[in-house]
Amino acid sequence: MSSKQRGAVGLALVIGIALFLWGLGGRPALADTCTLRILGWEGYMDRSFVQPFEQETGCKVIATYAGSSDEMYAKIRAGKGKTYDLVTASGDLTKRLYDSGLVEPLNLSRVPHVQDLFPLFDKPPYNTFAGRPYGVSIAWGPDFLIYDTTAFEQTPTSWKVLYQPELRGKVSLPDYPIFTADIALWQGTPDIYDLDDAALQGPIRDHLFPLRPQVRKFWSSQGELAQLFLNKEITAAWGWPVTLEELKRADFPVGATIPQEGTTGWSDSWMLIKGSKQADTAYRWMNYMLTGPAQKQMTEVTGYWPVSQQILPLLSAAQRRDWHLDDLQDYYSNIHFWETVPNYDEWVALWNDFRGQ
Amino acid sequence: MLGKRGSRPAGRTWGFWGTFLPPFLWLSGFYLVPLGVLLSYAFLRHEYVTILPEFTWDNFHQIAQGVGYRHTLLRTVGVASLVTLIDLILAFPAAYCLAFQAGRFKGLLSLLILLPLWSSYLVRVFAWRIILGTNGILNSLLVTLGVLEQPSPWFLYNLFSMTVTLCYVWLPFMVLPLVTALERLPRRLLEAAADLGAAPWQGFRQVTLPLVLPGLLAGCLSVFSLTLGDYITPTLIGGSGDILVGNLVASQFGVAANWPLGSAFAVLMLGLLFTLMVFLARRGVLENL
Repeated sequence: MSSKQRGAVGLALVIGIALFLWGLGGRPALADTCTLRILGWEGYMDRSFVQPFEQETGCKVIATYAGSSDEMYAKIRAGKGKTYDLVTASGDLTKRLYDSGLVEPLNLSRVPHVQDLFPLFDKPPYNTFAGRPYGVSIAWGPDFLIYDTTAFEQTPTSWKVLYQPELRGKVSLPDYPIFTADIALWQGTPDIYDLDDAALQGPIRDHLFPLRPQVRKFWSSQGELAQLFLNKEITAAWGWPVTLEELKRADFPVGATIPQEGTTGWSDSWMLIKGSKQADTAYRWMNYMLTGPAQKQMTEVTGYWPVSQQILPLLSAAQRRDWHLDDLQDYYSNIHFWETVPNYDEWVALWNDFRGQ
Repeated sequence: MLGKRGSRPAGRTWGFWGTFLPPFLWLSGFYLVPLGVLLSYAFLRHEYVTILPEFTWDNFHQIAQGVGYRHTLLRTVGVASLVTLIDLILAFPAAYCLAFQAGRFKGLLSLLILLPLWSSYLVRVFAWRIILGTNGILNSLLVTLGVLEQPSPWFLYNLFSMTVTLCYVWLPFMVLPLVTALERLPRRLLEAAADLGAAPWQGFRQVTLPLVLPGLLAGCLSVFSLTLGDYITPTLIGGSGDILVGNLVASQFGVAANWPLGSAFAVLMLGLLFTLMVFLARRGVLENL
């Protein structure tokens, strides 16, 4: 290396290090002003409704997406409240967070829009513990049987269709142990989130294991499920409205139904992580997300269903019917919403047996 | 040498051992202590959302009892061995050519072998999904050629696609130590063997192979251990039942938040690798990594 070259390399290094330090220096400055760090499901922190909030408050929203409740739990536990301010917790996560002492009780007087929630979402059991509110509802929805309409002559009427020999290697299921509850539901079990070891290792196991040869691929993100349909790898799946919306946008011949056995579903809540220094901003965000425009934008992005009555004037009659907002009470009571499972270790053990048998 | 001067250099005790201090601190701070903490979890009990600080063998019991766990352990060792064997068969001729036949193209060819390592691992795995899928390149080709009437789903999401992908991504780790070992081989010995009447096969078996064995085993060790710890390829390319131990560890830490059981798996895998290392170290393999 000539001395000239050496000089050039040295200069490049100095510039590189300077840039790096400058970047580092920029960060604490951000943390001083208000920055809201949210961990959650894809779609709940979309730019389309984050931007108006940022403009209104001058605060910055940093979104981290997670693919499952379990992933969120692991991340919050590892960070002990230092990494995130808010989480979008589904019903299978809320109680786990409360029991682990990782979330803060809420002062609902600082979220005035909660009075416009549909009555169903006013202090619901999945985010109210020991009589105190720990969460504010965001959205909800059912788990659908999604299918390729070119492969089915009629709309399937039962989940049992997934066991049919014609569907061998044509099905996709979620790679989430909580799916075990669906098997219990199809068997007519009364309390599908409270299954003891005898039930898990008996009837549940017997009905879960025959599904494995049917499965082409377990999906672990909704985008992956959409790709499986689009690439013609599968013709039927257990999935969420967000995948349905994505496939519809891609002009894929897709159908979705809730078969006669009923289905599982989820209701998500904002929860405030214990130790967060941004509680003020978090309250403003929760309140903002209950306003009509924010709810409308959020439902359009995700295909999930709204919780605030402020959205009603912004919807057409057809949309209200699609989201069952006119017969909400009735519709909602047919969906078995995710709950925190007390013996989750046993569910995971059964799931690993199922995957690795 | 010490005797010549008649006395020990005074600095030997402090200065000599002192030089070990920085690497020792580094190693313990960034390796031994975290690893020790992780492994110690394997002997604790997990209950709902808490980890109870009491000693137990329970996690290992669970592994021994779960049919899914046992099969997955066996499957992992089986797949890792198969991938190692296939890579060895593919890499040896390639390395031989590079070391002896490539001539002035050697630099270029080595670069081509290394090139995939500079792209993201995920991209390379996804590439195989595009090649092997039902609407993929391989199926289109076979249908166009008339070999298949319609696209077959049998190339993707099974043990086959997983093995192919793993063989592909880890192949450079087998080729490189083999090339090094073959290059170090003194040509004189090969010539002497031939002069003394050894047939090519005999020369290969009795001269070449024993001399490159440490390099060969080093490559095997790399490929075997890399496969053993992989969980991305099984997730993306494997079928419904083709999970490996890596997936189980990921599921215990990421899904169940059951650190003790996850650590127990880690203990087993580390134990296996450590035994293998000790065995191989005696054959001088570690110097060839």
